[in-house]
Amino acid sequence: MSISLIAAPAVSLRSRRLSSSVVLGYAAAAVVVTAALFAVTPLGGRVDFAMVAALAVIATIVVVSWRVEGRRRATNRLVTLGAALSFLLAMLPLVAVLGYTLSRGIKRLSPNFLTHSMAGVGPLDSGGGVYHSILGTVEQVGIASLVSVPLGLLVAIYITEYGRGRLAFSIRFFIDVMTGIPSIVAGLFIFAFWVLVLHRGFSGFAAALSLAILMLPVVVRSTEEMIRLVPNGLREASYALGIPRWRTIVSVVLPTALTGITTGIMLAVARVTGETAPLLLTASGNDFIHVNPFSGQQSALPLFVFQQTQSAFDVAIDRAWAGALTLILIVIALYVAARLLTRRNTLVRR
Amino acid sequence: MTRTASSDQRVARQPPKLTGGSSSADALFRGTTLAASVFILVVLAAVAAFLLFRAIPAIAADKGNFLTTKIWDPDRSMVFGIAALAFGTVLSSILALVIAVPVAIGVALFIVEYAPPRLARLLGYAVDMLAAVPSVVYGLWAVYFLLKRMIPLQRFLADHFGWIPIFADPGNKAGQYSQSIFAASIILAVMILPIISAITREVIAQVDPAQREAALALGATRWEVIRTAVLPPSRPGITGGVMLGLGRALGETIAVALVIGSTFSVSWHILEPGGNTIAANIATRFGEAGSLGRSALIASGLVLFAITLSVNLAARAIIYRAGAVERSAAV
Amino acid sequence: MRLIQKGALAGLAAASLVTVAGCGSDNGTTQAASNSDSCVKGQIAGSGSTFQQNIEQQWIKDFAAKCSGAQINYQGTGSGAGIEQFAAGTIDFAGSDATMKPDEQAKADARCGSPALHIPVTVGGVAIMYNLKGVDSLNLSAKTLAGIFQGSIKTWNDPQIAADNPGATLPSTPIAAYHRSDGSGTTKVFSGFLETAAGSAWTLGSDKQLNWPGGQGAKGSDGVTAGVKQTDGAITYVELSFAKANNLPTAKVKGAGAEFVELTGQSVSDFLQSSFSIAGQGKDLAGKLEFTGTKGYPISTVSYVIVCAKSKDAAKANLVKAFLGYAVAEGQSSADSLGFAPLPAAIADKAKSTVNSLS
Repeated sequence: MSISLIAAPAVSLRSRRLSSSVVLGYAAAAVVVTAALFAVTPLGGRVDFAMVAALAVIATIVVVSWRVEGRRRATNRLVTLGAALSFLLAMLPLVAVLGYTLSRGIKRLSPNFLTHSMAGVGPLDSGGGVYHSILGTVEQVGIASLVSVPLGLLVAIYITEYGRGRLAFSIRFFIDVMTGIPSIVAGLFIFAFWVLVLHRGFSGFAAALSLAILMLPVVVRSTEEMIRLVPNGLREASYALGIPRWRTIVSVVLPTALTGITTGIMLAVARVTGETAPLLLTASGNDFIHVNPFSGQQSALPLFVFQQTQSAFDVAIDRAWAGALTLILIVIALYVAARLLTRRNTLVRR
Repeated sequence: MTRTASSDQRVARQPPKLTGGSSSADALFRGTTLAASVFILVVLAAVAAFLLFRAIPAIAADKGNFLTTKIWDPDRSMVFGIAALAFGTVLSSILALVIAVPVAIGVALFIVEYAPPRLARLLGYAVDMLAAVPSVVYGLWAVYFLLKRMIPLQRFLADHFGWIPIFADPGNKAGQYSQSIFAASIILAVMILPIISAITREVIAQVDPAQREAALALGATRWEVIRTAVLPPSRPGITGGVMLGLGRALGETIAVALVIGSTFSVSWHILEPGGNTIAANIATRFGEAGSLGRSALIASGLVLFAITLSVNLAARAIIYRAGAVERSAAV
Repeated sequence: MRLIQKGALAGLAAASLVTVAGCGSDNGTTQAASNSDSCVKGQIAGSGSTFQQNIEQQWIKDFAAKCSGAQINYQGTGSGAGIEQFAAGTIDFAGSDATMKPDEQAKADARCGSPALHIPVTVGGVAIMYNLKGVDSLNLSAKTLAGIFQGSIKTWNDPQIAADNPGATLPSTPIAAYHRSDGSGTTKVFSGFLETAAGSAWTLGSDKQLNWPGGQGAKGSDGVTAGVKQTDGAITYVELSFAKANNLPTAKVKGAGAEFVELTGQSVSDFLQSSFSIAGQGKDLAGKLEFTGTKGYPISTVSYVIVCAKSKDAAKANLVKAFLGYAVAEGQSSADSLGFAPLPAAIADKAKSTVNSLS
């Protein structure tokens, strides 16, 4: 991993470079040749063409670059193209999922849909809405975050800043194990503990507890990785100013890592906002508006979506997609809000 | 030069000797973080205890061998076993990682290293949006949109790569059905991609700029900068992200339940209709299970717990090894 | 400064939440409720059978239109889950496609402090739905169905299918047989029918889930329907409402009888009159379903509600009684439009008398 390796001979400042127009020209040529190939051979299909053309472009550019610019620059071009291709590949499902949900959900999404519950809506009726489910999701995810974010931050601080030896190691290890708890098992656990042992019945709060179990490891692990990246120079500078350790953590380490931590929390929130299985066992679902999260069955958006899709009738399927769209929009709104908040609070950004 | 995480931590953990009087506040803060950590261990222990408590009677009542039986029939013949489920869980998660990790790291590199800084933030948000899609929506999207479009791809793989055992299609079903381990892996890969990518992105964005500049000053190409200055210090963080993704893949329930074919067989032919995972099986069977059936499902949850545990152990061993090699090479 | 901005944002968020919280409405449809004096008010909750869900929803709507003070919540979580939650005391009634097993019955009795009773509330047929270009009408016998779903009949022009459909032109399209991947009462009815009517040709037994040798599993009625809709040559078994709502044809089925029978409300009632008998003690209406009847559509089933004979909470018991009283009487008229069939008269009478005895 030493830098000296790469400072090896081949870099000559006079080595030939391919200008970007030449690269584009070769890329275009590769596409044209592929198209010709598809025209004369039995090959066909749009997806096949895209795949073959992409490979042809990469191969052409890399080979040309190798001949003209040498191995190192060719490798560099290969990685650049690979990274760009990865990005396009990742955008593919995003566009497909969002586009499909939007096209199917927009039909029913309306102010009326957002402000009404499913009370008094029969299986063949086209009315009804998600208001009761939005309320449930906001309360459940809100409570789950209130429980798991502070707890998760504290644990991450302990692991990174204080913990050493066996205890810190086992906490890290078991947090990793916790990421593998299937959501339905978290629901089962809360169902057994809250509903059967404490006899508290279904409630939004029970749902929130099961969601908190799922959020915790994600919050801890991502926060931990981000805190670890805070340069030690910052800590040392703070100590040198005579600032106690806890204040250093709270006012220097955490703010520095804030964007990363927010990303982690958002990932956790986004994950649990869409959880269905544990809610079936803890909140159970309700067609009516139920405000009190501490007792009684409550709806939630993923439950709403899941239950509406189980119906045979198009009116329900339309509601399901409109509900899915609402769910995605809520998560995106939360995400944007968190980004706006953290952007103005970031001390250091690279 | 080598900035491994462990050397970092060692510095970070050095007690600050120059800090002034507020040691009681420090102790309080430290105590609070410790209490939170212990609390989490207690919760986890309670979950494990609950699983054990419900699982042991079920395993005792099992008329088959719980570990090797491939059938799942607790309520009728009382024969059930975890073999096919555990196999499907691990296979689908590993395939998902194989698909998602290179793409996720490529995406992160593209955003941080290649994209113009102004655009980078927006592109990052776009990838994060993948995480904003709830799993139930992924599942529905797969059922109504993706599955039928996957049939040509499956046929292509079976026709041209059938000589690779996992793409073999002896029953000639790949062109007809699409709910398979392969389908589950693809949907899982899409779901874990934003997790791995987001964490990798944050981690490599935090690499000390001085290191990049040093490499650039030595005439390194961009890829050489990444290979020598960016990836090595990021490796523990990236691994952390991958582990989070793996955990998610192993435990994902609803989306997998909607796209997998639910057969109880151990088969490497990922294109064949069928396959099953522990979490999906719990979700699909729980509603209609009898009392032994429910306990049996919880016992399978315990196995998933154990799988996660051992996968984590293995990953740690690999990281430790890699770390050791790297250090010795750097000396 | 920064804190102030943050506070302002948080305040704004809180304010908008309050605004949103104030504007929701439970009035999902526009029709106004008219209350008669005898109306029972209160809230009750039920869950269980997904098979029943649509008709429960219809009853809840219609009952609430008569009595606006009654809030009834039914969630289709699956029969097993409904029975467990009923025993745990978290719901007031459970919907179930099957009768309780002895251990479940004991737990439910303990919860009630009195016998937990089964009451048949609706009946319905399981449709054999298919998607085959150019074939709008299809006859299938039990043995042929067994062959299709066990994978021994692989194409649509198989001689066995042709024998059921004399004179029809059948394509050579491969058969894609979809079955439920989740535990389901529908699978139990379908396999129960085949076990009796196909005899030794059916080797998978009868249960809520089976060890399928082939075909494609998909989750839920919606999952198998989506699969069939997307695949030419596909076939599955599913609640009638899914076939109707998706405009997919259903096959006429021959069981123990001599005729191929179409699935209609009447043919379901006909079949149950001969094949269903009440086996429960006293007011309990747990029934026994045998697929030996020769009249009517042979893949038919009865779905129950489980309630306490004597409830500890009198107010809730009153509402349960009023609601179920509505369901087994006037409520039956909603059955046909939702793909169910009305309770045969003999069963309906018994159900009414059991509902009347609830307290």
